[in-house]
Parts: sequence; C-alpha cells; structure tokens
Amino acid sequence: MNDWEETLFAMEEKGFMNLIKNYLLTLNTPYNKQSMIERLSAWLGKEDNRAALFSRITEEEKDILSLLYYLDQVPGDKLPLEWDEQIRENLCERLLIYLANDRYLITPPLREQLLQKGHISFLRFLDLREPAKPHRLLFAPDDRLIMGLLSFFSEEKPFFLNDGTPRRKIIEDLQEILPYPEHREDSFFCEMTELLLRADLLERKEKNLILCSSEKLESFEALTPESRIHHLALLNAPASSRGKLRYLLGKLPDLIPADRVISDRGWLRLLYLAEPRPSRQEIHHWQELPSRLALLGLCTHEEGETGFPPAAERATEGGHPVLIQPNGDIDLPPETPFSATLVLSTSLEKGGTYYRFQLTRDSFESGLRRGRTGARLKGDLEKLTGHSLPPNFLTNLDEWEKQLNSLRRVRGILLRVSGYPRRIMDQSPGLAEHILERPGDEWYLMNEDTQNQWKSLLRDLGLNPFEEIGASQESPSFIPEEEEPLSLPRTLEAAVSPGEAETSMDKEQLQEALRELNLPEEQYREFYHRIERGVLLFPEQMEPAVLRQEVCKAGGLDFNGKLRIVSSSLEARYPLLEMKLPDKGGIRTVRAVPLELHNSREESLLLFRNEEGEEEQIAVRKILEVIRFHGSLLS
Amino acid sequence: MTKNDFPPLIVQGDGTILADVHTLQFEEARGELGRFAELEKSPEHMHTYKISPLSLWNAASSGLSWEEIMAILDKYGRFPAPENVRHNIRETLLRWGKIRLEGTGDEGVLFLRVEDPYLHKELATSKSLSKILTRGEKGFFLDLLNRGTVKAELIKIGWPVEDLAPLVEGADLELDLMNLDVREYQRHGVEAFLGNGKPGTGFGTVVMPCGSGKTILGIAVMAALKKQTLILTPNVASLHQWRDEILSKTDLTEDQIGEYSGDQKIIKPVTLATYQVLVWRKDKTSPFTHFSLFRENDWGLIIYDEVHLLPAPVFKITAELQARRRLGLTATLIREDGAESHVFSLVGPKRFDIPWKELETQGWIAEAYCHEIRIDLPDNLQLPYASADKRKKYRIAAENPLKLNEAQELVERHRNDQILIIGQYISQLEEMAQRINAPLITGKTPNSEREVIYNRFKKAEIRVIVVSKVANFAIDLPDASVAIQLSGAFGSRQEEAQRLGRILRPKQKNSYFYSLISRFTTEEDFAMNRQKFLTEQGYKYQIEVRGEAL
Repeated sequence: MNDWEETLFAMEEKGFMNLIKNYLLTLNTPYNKQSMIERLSAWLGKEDNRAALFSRITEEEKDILSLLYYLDQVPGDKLPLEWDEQIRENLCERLLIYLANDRYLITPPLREQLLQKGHISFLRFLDLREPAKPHRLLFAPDDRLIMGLLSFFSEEKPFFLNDGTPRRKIIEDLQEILPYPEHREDSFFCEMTELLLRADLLERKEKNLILCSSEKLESFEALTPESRIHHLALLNAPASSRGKLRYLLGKLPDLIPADRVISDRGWLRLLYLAEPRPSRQEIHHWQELPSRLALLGLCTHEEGETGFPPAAERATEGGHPVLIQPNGDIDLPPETPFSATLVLSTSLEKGGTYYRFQLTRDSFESGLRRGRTGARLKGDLEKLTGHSLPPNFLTNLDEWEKQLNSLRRVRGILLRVSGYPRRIMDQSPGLAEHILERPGDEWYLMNEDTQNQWKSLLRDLGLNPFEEIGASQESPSFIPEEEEPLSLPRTLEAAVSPGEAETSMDKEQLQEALRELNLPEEQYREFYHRIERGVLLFPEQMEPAVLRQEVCKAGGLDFNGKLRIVSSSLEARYPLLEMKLPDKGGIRTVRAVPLELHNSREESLLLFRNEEGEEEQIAVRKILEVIRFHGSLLS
Repeated sequence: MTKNDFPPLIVQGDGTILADVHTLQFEEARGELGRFAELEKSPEHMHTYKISPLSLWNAASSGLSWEEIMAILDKYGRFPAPENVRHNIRETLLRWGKIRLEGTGDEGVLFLRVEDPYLHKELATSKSLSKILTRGEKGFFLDLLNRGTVKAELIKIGWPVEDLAPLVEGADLELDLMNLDVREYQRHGVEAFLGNGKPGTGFGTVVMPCGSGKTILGIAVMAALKKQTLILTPNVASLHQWRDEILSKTDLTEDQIGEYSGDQKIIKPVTLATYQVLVWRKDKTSPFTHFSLFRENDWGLIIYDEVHLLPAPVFKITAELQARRRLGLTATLIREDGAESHVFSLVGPKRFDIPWKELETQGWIAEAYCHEIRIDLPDNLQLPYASADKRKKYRIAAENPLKLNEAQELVERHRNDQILIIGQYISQLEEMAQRINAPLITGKTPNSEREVIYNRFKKAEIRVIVVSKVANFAIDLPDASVAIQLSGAFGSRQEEAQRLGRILRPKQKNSYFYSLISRFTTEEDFAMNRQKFLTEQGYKYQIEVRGEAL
C-alpha cells in the first residue's frame, strides 16, 4: 500500500464514502475499504477519467500542482503558498492531490501524467514571466577585480570614518583604478569591500582595512572561478544549505530563458527546492540574495524580478596569455584566474578590458613580508604567463630579496634540541622542510605557519617540545563542492512539454444535462455545486442516491432550523450557505461563507462573507431562507 | 613568443589602447593606430597607446573621420570597444571643423566661422574671447594679431580651430639641395608638412625619433619652399650643427646664414637662433628684447627644433606669428610641463610621425642595448654612506670610485667603438678623463674648444669623450655607439631619450648604453625610473651585478 492509499485508508468514514460514491457511484457491501481504494485507483488509471479530471484544471491550479510536484518534500505548513485553503480542499476532493502527514502531495497515479500532459512544468514552478521592462546585466566583477580590490588593501589603509561609513576619498581612488561602468551605483565598491570583509579576505583593524593572511588567499585561490563568486554571493547563507544553493546558482543561468525572469514568488520557491525546511534567517537571506547576485553580475534584479542572461553574453574569448613585461607591467586578459601571488606581490595600476598590475620594489616587499619569496614569485608568475620572465625582471627580484633579507626580523619558532632528539631532528626527512634555519649549534628555527604539522611529526617520533608556543590557526572554510545535491530538470524545454487537448464534457454541457434531469431543487443545487467544484465530471455521477440524506434547508419562522443550519455549517471545514435575505423591500439571494455566529440575549447575529468578498452581518431571524451545501466531498 | 592570430588591439574603458606585439596583425594595426593615438610606452610584449582630444584632432586635421577610426578599432580590436570610448571618440572628433578660421579679404582681419548656433552662443558669452572677438553672422571677426591667442583660448575650452586662413608667403631665397639623398620616410614627412599648399597647410609638427634625420627633413622643407627661414634651436651646439648641415647639404654659403646667439646677433636670409637668447631679458618685468627678431625679416618659414622644449614665452610670440609657415620638429610630443596643446594650437597639429622601431627595422637607426651595472660601494664608504643625510648619500653613491674601474673596463671592452662617458660631478669626470687620457667637456669649456673636440671625435681622431650633462641636448656625435653614464639622476623622460639619442645615429653596428649604479643605494631608485622608462621605450635592458656586498 502506498502513501496515497494509506491516506485514503486512514480517512474518516464520511468523507471517504462521499468520495467513493461520487466517483464510483456504487458501494459494494460488505464495505471493504481496501477493495474500494483499489477500485478508485483503477478508476484513475482510465484515460477517459483522467482526461475529465485534467480538463477542469485551471491555470492557477497548474501553478499549484507544479509547486507541489517540485516541492514534494516541503511540509504543508511550510509551503510558500498564496492559495486559499479551499482550493487545496477542492484539489483533494478532485483526487488530484492528497494530504499526508502535513504534506500536500500529488496523487501518485496522476503524478507523471500531469507532467506529461503539461499541467505541471518547471516554468510554472519558477513563476517565469516576461520582464516588466528590459533587464540590463550589470558589469560582472571577475577574479581580476577581486584581485585588484584585495591588492589595493595589501598595505593597511584607513577606510572607515567615525560614523562607520567608508571614506569618500578611498572609494574615489578605487573608482579611478578599477572598472566602474556608468550604470553601477555609487555603492558598488562599498558593497564589494563589505563582501570581502565578510569573506575574511579583508580584515578590519579599527577604522582600517588590511589584507588577510596568505593562507586564506591560497584557500580562496584553490576554488574554481565560479565557486569564488558563488562563495561571495552565499556568504550569509546558513552553512548547511550553501552547497545546494551554490549548485542551484550554477545551474540557473543554463535553465532560465534569456527573455524570461523569475518573480519574487518563484525565487522563494527555489529556496524550498534546495532546503525543504528553511529557517526564517534562511528565507531572509534568500530574499536578499538576488540583489547580491546582481552586484556580482550573476543575474539581473529589477523590481522584484530576477533574470539570468545566457552565459554567452558574459563569456569572453579565452586563450590569451598573461603578459609580463620588462618594465614590471603584468597584463591580465579576461578569464585570468585568481592568483594569491598577484594579490600579495603586485599592485593594480589600472583595470579595464585588460587589467594591468605592476611589480615594484614596494609591492615585492609587501609580498615578501607575507611569505612570497622571489623564487615562489618567479615560479608562480612563470606558471601564470607560460613563458620565461624578462632577465632584468629576474635580476630585480633577486637583488630586492637580497637587500630585504640582509636585515630582517625572522618569524618562526626557535627550538633548542640536544642529545638524541637532535640526531632524530637532523635525520628526519619530514622535519627538514619545516626547518627555516639553523642559527647555531643546537638551535633550530622552525616554520611558525606549519607548526601543527611539525609538532605532529615530532610527537610521532616520540618527541614533545618542552614549551608550546603560539596558537594553532583556524583554517578558512569555503563552500564545499557537492555532486548534484538537487534534482533539477536538465533544460527547461524538457519540463514544459505542451499539454494535449483533453476530451470530456465541459461544465456547460454538464449543467445542461443536469437541468434536463429535473431533479428536486436541493439535489439540483448539490449537483450544480459539484459541477462547479469539478468533482462531477460525467452525467452518470448525477445519481441522487450518492447524495447524503440530510436536512439542510430552513426558512420562514423556523428560527431554530435556521440557527441549526448556520451553526452546523460553521462546524464544517468548508461551509457554504445560500441565503435569501430581505433587501430594500425586495429579496436578494446571497451565496455566503459563514464566519462567526454571535449569540446574545437579544439576538443571534451571523457574520458572513458574500460572493464579492465583503463581510456582512445579519440577524438569523431575518434570514428568509437558508440552504447549506457541502463545500467539499470531504467535509 | 610565437605570433598568434588574435586581433592585436585591446581598447580599455579609459581610452587607452593596448597593442599586442605578438600578433600577426600587429605591424598593420600599429600603422593605423598611430594615426589617431599617441604611443605612451612600448615594452616587449604590449604597447600602450592613448587616445586624447589632441591625438584625435591631429587625426582629424589629416582627414581621418570617426567612422574610419571605428572601423580600425573594429577590425583590429580583440574585444568590442567600450561604448563610452566610441562615444567620446565620435564627440571629440566631430568638434574638428566646427570652428574654422578663414581670411576675409582684408589683410588685417580674419573670420572665425561658427555655424552651430549653440556653439556660437557659447563663444559669444566667453569672457576671455569677448575682448578679442567681434560678433558677426555665423561667426566672429578678429584681428590678425589675435589669430594665435584665439586658437589657444579655444583649445583651452575644448574646441580646436581648423586654421584655413592664408599664410604670408615671405621673402624668397634661392636654395637647392646638394649631396643629399632624402630618405623615403623623410620625403613623406616633407610632403605631409607642405600638403597641397592651400589654406590649412604649411604649419604643423613632425615627430621622428632621435637620430632619424630631423635636421635633414627641415632642410628638405626649406629647399622645397625656397623662402627665408628662421630656425630656433635649444642651444648653441645644436645651432652650429644646423649651420654645418645647411652648408654641407645645400648650395647656401656662409654669408647667407646668420647666427643670433649670445655670441653674435647677425640676421641673414637663413638665421639660426637659440631659445635662450630669445627669452633673455634684463629682469622679470622687462620685455623680451630679442623677440624683435621675428619681425625684422619677412620670414617665409620658422623651424622650431626640439619643439617639445619650446619655452613658454616663445609660445607667446608664436601666437603672433600665425600667418607664417611653422615647422615643429621633435622626437616626442610629450612635454614635461603638459603644454602639448600649445604646440598643437600655435605651432600646428602633428603632420607626420614614424615609430623608432620601424626605423630600426629598416636599419636607419641602430639597435640599442641598455645595461645597468650595479657596483658595490667600497667597504670604506659603506658606513659614511649609511650615516649621511639624503643629499650626501646621493653624492657618495654617485661618486663611487669603483665605477671608474668599471668604466675603464668598458672602454677596453669596446676598444673599436666611439664612446661617450657622461657624468654629473666634475671632479669625478676629471678623474675619469685623466685615467683614460680622454678630453673632457663641461659647461666651462668654450664653444670653440667643444667644437674642435667634437670634430676630432667625428673624424675618429679621438675615441672617447668625457662629458658633463651639457651634452644631453642636441649635439650631434654621429659615430658614438657607446655611452657610459657614470652618474646623474633620472631627470626626465626627455633627458633620458636625448641621452640615448646620442648613440642612436645610424651606424653599421649595435649601440650600447651603460648606466653605472652603486648597488643598494639611493641611486637604484633613479635607476629603477630609468629602467622603467627604457624598457617602456622597447629597449632591451640587462642588469649586471658586480661584487657581493651581501
């Protein structure tokens, strides 16, 4: 027994019988719920029946079904739904969906059929639409811009004013050297700097900003270009959902047509796709995300609409080498990947189509302070450019390093080792790479940055230094790469196959058939409402025997009768009343949803909502006639 | 690096254009680019050009349209040119021709034609112009005397003037070339300057590298025009070179050539004057008495040699000489004082230029190698250097005695070359000269004595000259193929270009420029500037290190 069948099995008797009678018309005795469910399932398997059910699905209901299809893991009370509870109930009585354990789910026998017939689509799920006005993709900051921004702060710079806002002069300096297209808002560099701060790539020292450690830069460098941008975009996202969100961002540009945008509603649904039970914080972050993505040039975001231009619009012709010139200019073509070495050891001269960084004595010194030796710099630059460096460039590096190293404060941990540990120290190949220098007999200057590694090695060798120095460093954490953490349609086209025209009697034909039956008024009205609600699909269903035998009409002076009908309707889940009310000397008929009944010593007052959605109040005694209908087969 | 088939040009958002040397279309693109952008630097891999209003108006004056410029950028651009750059080029270029200066038939009055009503209104309300312009229909009238002033004022507010007013012919002078093969590029330069002889031609600037024969081009222009000519030069040595070249390359005789300098004030059909004498005056408030030279003859041509050095007061008098043909000659349009627009508006737009690399490829100028040799300070000077103040430090580093040994070795190494040893400190130069037994030229050396030494050097009777920085500008040492700089700060881009120009004259062999630097001293800072400048000019630059101070 599947989930749906179990739900039917557990359904309260009255509602269950109503369903069965409505669709199967006959009840075999003795009642065997199991066999009735099987019959219902078989009924749903018939092409004609499905066609009739599907023919009554409205556009709004298609949106709902699409939502439920893709968010089948989301609990009912968490669904980002703007739809009336009555619609849900109606979809349930029409067997299209069911409620199980607080979750609305699509009825399994219909699930794939609905998709195939086009009643469910990812396009609907995303609430895609044509943009209200043309969207313009903002200039996308790439690795080079991030490198430029970071290298700008390689020397500590005063950035904040007393009130915490950025200094105008600094922003102007950044605007001078970094690309700053006209349509960018003034706040661009402030926001980018804020992102880099949050990413721990910049650090705040009171009112100043300074570059992070070289280790953090290296970790950032180890990511792919796409991951780096996504990392910045998802900084605020809770760690648990970052991987899925990142995956989603990677897929969306390929999935969304260039001429469509996602509404805010569709955007929120995406979150639920990644995280079925988002927290309030996650929802808030997700709703803010489009503007951050737009800042990073990953999408457009205007007036509540989010668009993903095709990758081709943003791509540039690749394959151009980085050029390193004898005058110290380093020219970076588009697509140049992030390089911690460039950030640490060079300074940005100007950004544009190509970015020009420069290696100077000062920039080299700055890099050397953070561990970028001449040899490391040479190796990294050669790797970056693919050709040998100019000879004068190399001599400069060599000379600068010699001079800077001629008098320097050495950072490291001094170990004094004597006796047998010394022999072990000298002979262990693993330890050798952590020894920076041997300043004297028995003295070893150890690399402070790798202290965890060499301490562990020492411990493995049975040696424990007498005194611990320094604290272990926290390694930076970036968004992990995940393999297909979400199931998405590969393309949107595949998810929007056009639906076939359904062939069944339409509402008007059914109503005509009903009129021809000349049924008593109450029965006529009940069937009429069933046609309206889409649960009466074939003329055969207009069998008076399937109706519940209940008194549901009162009028005239029968105050108690009227009061009983009104009270009982209020107890039903989906009540519906039809009332004849006095109106300026005449009579008006109102179809109403009862809301509240106020009983006082003098009067019983009914508060109801009329067909126009307005709330009205009337004394029960003044009601000329009241008829109660079943709002749902299940009620 | 092997050449690739990527389009060579990368247009940046700020109007800078990068030209990738390692592309198959580079040479072709460079030729086109030079027509509307100025070369800023040309290091090994990527050359940098800059589009500026002046470069665009220079282009417009030579007939280049903005559509043609766009077509060039589209054809050779690796990426689409940014929209703002396209817009700026169009807007700037379209300014050319909006204001035209024309004759009126009345010799003393010109007409500034401004047909655009909004522009007409803008000029009419300009305070500085309202004093010298008289409003007319579709333009303004002005006195002939204010021709230059109006052009200079307009360019200040971003409007170039297309000067179509007629020039005066000037007095005739019979003059023919002798013993002179004008090279093809020089002939192109002459033709570009002269144009079709109609209004709007006959004034402007020719840009050619040091050693490429600017003097010859000037003489060829004189021979083509056959008019009495005033030639302005930066100093006496340069003046004498012009005189010698004119005498040897034309049929003019000594009595037809006058010298107007500190030594003598003789005006002849061809008169050579120095900038210094022209701007001399008794005191700061007195008038420039020698400006009368411009009016004392009916000059048919005025040549401004090294026009990028033209002193500000000469611009002022040049503003009054707008009816005369004017030829500016220079290796670079860049002025340290930023007054490039004065050259454009008062001498005239660039009519011709040719990159030095092209001439080097064609073999017209020598291939040059730059070496920086870093030499340790001797042990006994290291502590005095460390404890000295900034100025003294510089001097100790500059006068490092070990440099003399190195220079001596270089002289030995280049025993078959003509060598110049250049320095800043006389005592150092004296010692150097004494060591290698070479003549020394300083500011105190009389001109006559200098010329004797130069002549002997030219005839290879002497192989080495030790010279102070007086040699920096406009002396012609045709056979020097090695320069050794003992000391001297990196003064300016021009100075460095000129210094190198001393060894770039056409020769059969390569040229070498050695710069001797005290290692790990403040001299290295100056050397870095020099290194940057020279590598940006495309010279091969090698650094050698002597000693092991560390």
